[in-house]
Amino acid sequence: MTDEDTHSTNPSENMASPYGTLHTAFGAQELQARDRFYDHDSSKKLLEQLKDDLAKSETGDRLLQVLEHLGAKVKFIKSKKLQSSVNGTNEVFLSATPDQQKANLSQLIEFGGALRELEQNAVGYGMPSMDEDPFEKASRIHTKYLDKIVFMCKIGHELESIYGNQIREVLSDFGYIDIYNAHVDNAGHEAVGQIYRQAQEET
Amino acid sequence: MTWQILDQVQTKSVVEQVRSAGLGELFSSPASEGRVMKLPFYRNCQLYRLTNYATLPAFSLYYLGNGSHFLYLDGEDLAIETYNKNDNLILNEETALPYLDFYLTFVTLEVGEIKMDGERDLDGLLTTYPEQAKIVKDAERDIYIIETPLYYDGSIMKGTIEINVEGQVRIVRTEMNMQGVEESLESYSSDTYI
Repeated sequence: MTDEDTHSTNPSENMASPYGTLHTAFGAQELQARDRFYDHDSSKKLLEQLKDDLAKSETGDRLLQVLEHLGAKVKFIKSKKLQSSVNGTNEVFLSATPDQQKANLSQLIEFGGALRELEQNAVGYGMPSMDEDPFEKASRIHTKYLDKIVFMCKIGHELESIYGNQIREVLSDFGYIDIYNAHVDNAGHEAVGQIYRQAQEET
Repeated sequence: MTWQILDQVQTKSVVEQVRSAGLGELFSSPASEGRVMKLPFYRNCQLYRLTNYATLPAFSLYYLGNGSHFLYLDGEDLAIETYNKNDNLILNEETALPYLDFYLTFVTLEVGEIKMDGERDLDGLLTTYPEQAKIVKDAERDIYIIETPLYYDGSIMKGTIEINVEGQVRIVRTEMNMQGVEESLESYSSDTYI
């Protein structure tokens, strides 16, 4: 730490608005459109490609029909980190790097998982409320999570004839390779659940 | 560098400041949480994290902010560049590595994923910096030159990086550690700063 680093920890005491610089950097109009901080320029193109590719998997195709049926919106958010979020049965958020023009396999599997989460919500298996019994809550969250992972593996397995070993590499990066292998080997629910519980204990 | 959890009122205030139609109801649930982390290389801003725990796994977005104004870290360097101005950036031998790690964690480079080697926390930031890292100040050019192991393209390489007084990061050279094969990164071999 340096002497210069002894400033107040209260952020509001510290600095004038950085928007002054932003006005100079890219104009006041840009500031009014805060959406542009998040929205991805290639959203439409990325979504079309993801839908086309996901439809090549039987499970993915069925989940796309669920999306269609619910009329949920898929929104892309610029982010370096690959992630997704599902809001009830209305919205699916999916991240994409700012310069991304073409969807990649990791994103495809993530998208499939997000659609399964959307389906969970649609059939009444949403996230537990904050005031629910802690054990019930934990059980429900883990069941939802494992179900989502298994669906990502299912989609991956169905796409292996197209993407080959890349599927295993991607699921390995996600940390789901043991569950994937168990799924491929038809190890059964109990065995898959055991692998999941072990992975959760290790993290 | 540790996170401080914001209370519900503070979290709501941050959510209000960063709200947009594009974000929809992403952080409006009670299962959303805000955190703030003081960064050793900034005088007047901190790193903010908004997390939605109502999705699996949790979904987080990161911002640079001073408590009332926030810029989204979208993978480009605009937010960092903006906060580097107005004498806000503290660059010295102690802060150069944390700054470099922060930059490489939150900015997408054209050449792909490049990171300093080491253990990372859940937010992707290094928990300890590489012992082999060397930091030298070139007073004449007013830049810091860092030599450190880098993870790039699936391999660990020895990297040379320059950071200028404005916080612009330039990967000067990467070379294979094992074979000693020098491999310049095409896009970053010129004088162009990232």
